[in-house]
Order: sequence, then structure tokens, then C-alpha cells
Amino acid sequence: MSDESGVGGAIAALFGAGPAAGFFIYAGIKTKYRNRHARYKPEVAVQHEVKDVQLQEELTRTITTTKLRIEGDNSATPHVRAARVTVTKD
Amino acid sequence: MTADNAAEASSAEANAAAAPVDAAESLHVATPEEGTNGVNKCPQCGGSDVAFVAARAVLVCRFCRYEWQPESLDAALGLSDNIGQLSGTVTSTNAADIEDDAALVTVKCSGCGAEVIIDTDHNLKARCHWCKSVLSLNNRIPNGAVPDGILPFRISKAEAMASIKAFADERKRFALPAFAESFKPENVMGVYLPYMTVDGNIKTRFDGMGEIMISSRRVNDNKTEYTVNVYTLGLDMQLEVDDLVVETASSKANINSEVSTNNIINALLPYDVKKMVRFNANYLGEEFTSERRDLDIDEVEHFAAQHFLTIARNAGAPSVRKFRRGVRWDSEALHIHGSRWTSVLLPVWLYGFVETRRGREITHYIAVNGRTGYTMGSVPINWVKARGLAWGAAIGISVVTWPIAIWLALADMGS
Repeated sequence: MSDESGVGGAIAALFGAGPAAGFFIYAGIKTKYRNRHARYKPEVAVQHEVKDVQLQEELTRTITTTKLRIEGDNSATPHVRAARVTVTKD
Repeated sequence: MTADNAAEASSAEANAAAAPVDAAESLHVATPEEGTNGVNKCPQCGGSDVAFVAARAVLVCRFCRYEWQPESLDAALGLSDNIGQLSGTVTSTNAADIEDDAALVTVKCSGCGAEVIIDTDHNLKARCHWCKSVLSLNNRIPNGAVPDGILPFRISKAEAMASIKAFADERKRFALPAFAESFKPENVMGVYLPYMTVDGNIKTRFDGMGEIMISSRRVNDNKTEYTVNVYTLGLDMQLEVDDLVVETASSKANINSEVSTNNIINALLPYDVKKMVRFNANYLGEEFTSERRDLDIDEVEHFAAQHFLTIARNAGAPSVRKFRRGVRWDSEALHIHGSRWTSVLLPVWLYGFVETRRGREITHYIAVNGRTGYTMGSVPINWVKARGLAWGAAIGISVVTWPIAIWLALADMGS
């Protein structure tokens, strides 16, 4: 093939266009009608004051990767709990 | 259970001065008394027939037309003060643990002496069947039905009906036929649901990894390699949280319920709880019902802890913004130095529809925040129609694109 990846990509896109459109229409209807992800958003709705923020950072290694983001990135989902959670109180 | 022993307990609490919140042993703030449990009289004429006028947010005596403003609970209890000094678990009078689960409460009518039963699962007032006095529960009773505060309805039934109709109209096309056929916005119910407001003096620590890209190299058209510095991160912070809200009815607390769309009601939050007033059963009037709190603080504490962590994680985001490849938090630690809990009834206009699917029932709600008018809902879907459209689109587009794809593939192979 002369331009293998370009033509291959276009063929894949053409094959995938129909099923993708069907999937997005179905998912769109479900989202609009059922609102399953609607929830209270205390992170933006509740008044709070942050004090004494301290960040410790330590460079541990340098790696080479083909991934665009860190694996397991959860920085944009504050309502999803991390793998380990501990809660204590006075 | 009778209201007398409950009233005794609550008056003893009320006599104690509102304790300073910075002392570890001071774990209680007394909610001011509101009239009595029984006949709740107009301060002007002593009439017992009192109504709430939502348009002016006042109570009015139906006999002498005297109007009075309710007392702000936030100011009375200092609920916005000293959050940074909170220590231990501080509760207001009616946020105390439930001691008796019985829903039926017997109230002695002070007008004629008759005993009247109030079903606190649905209401907090009743009319004496002998002398027609209106009897109400306004102070703490051991079954948790009477809250410290209430946020009265501001949105009228007509406004709620219009919002619910508009919401359903936008979703008519793929709605289940049974829903569309039976939809009557006038069936919307005004209900006060039980919640707790929580203030928190908390400390959090998050541990994880963050990455910063140093350079990138294009290997081929499909592949890019990134050279990345990996950091271990630790983030400490202190937070003062004011008026977090958590559900305290077990039927509504699980927002991932399989039998009802509780997340819809959860999504109506927040409310302007700074404006809550001391509870008075007359806010319920003839039009509204109330649901009884059946969860104690220790049963909903973990919901508050989850929300505290969510708030802290979001608040910490600017500190780690330079890690542009993202951050993975592996552990979260929350320490609650102090929290302050107040029970409150919040107003919801609720429309429900029960869908039976594959032998299972699920209740869909369309709900309107009784203060702001914010509307959220779940409309049951006509799956046959929705899937039909999705398949139709998939096949219709594929009929055009697949021959082109095949032609391209053959042409590419030929070359």
C-alpha cells in the first residue's frame, strides 16, 4: 500500500461511521431521558474555605511511554474515591 | 409514644444555654422551642388555625389574619459561625438519635382534652375530631419526625406543574407510551423531605503520582513517544465546610438505587439553607406532606465524609495543575476535627411514575426544587422505538459508507 495508514484509517472510519452513529443516538436518548449521572455536586455547590495547602512533590523517575495521560488519571473526577480511603475523627 | 415525654426532654435541652462549639465536651446546641406539641396558637388571638402564605413567606392566622415572620435558624443557632473551631460532633436538638421508631404519635388536645393520633410518616399536624382545633408537632419527639428547621416552599404548584410539563414535553418522542398516556402534571405532590445540614472542620491528605512531559517524539504516523518525569505527590490541606446537605430518609439516601431514581432528587441540591427557619408544623398546611427522618448521624456520616473528600479533592486541583499529564490519587485520608449537624425539611415537588420492566418495578421521578424551581427528572424510555432509531441510523449510514469503504479497500489492494 502506498499510503497504508491514511487509506486504512479512512476505510475503518467508513465502516465504523454507521455503528458509531447508532451508538451515539442511543446513548444520547438514554442520557437525555434518564439523567442517570445527575447528582448533587458539593464540590461546586457548597461554600468552603481552604486553609494551609501544602504540596510535597518528589521526582522519582523518568520514563518513556506512548500513553497520552498518566495511567489511572482521576484528577478530573473528584467525586470518585481513590483506591484507599481512611476516615478518622476526634 | 406520647408527645408529653418528648416535650419534657426537649424543654430541658432548650433551657441549656447554646454551648460554645470549641469545647470538646460541648456536643449540643439547643434549638429554640417553637410553640408546643399540641394546639399551636396564633400569638395575636390564640386561634389554632394557622396557614403558611408562600408568596410572602409568612404564617397567617386564618381567624384574625395576623401575620408573623418565622425565626431564622441560622442566626438563632449561629450555624455559620466558628466552623474552624468545631471539635467533636455537635448536634442541634432535633438532630439527636432516634429513640423510638413508632410513627403514630398521640397528642392530647389542650382545647378539649381528647387524644388525637398523628401519623408522622406523612404529616405533623391533624385536626381534633371533637373541637376542631389544629394540633401540631413542633418540638422534638423521639422518632425523629420533627426537625430543627424547615425551608418553606417558594415555588407554587402551578409553577411546578409548568416546569414538569415542559420537562416531559421535551422528552415525549421516546417516552414509554404508558408514561405519556398517564402523564398528568396536576398529580405533582408537594413534599418536605428530611435532610441534615453539616458543617465540617476537616483536614485531608492525598497521596498519589503526577506526571510532567519533558519531550515527545513522533515514531510514525500512528505512534508518538513521550518522555515523562514521574513525581510522587502528597497534598495536605485544612477545610472549613459550611452547609453540606445529606439525605436522612433511608428510602432516598441510596442514589444508586435499583428501584427508584433517587439520584434525581439528590440532584435538586443545593438549597438556600441559610434561609431555613425554626420548624413549625403549620408550614405543611393542607397541601404538603412530610417524610420522617429514619437515619441517625452515625448512619449518614459516611455520606458526609464522601462529600468532604470530594470538596477537598476539587479544592486541591489548582495545586497540581502543573502536572499536565494528569494526577492519579491512590489514597485519601480525611480527619474530621469537628462537625455540626442540624436536621431540616426541604421542599420538593415530586411527580412519580412506576415502570415495570422485566418483572421489576422502578419508580421514575420528575422533581422540582421547591425554592429555586430547578427541575430534574427521569422519563421511562420506549426502548423499542429508541433502539429502532439507533439501528435505523446505523444501517442507513452504513448502506452509504460501507460500499465506499469496500471500493476503497479494493482499489488500495489493486494499487
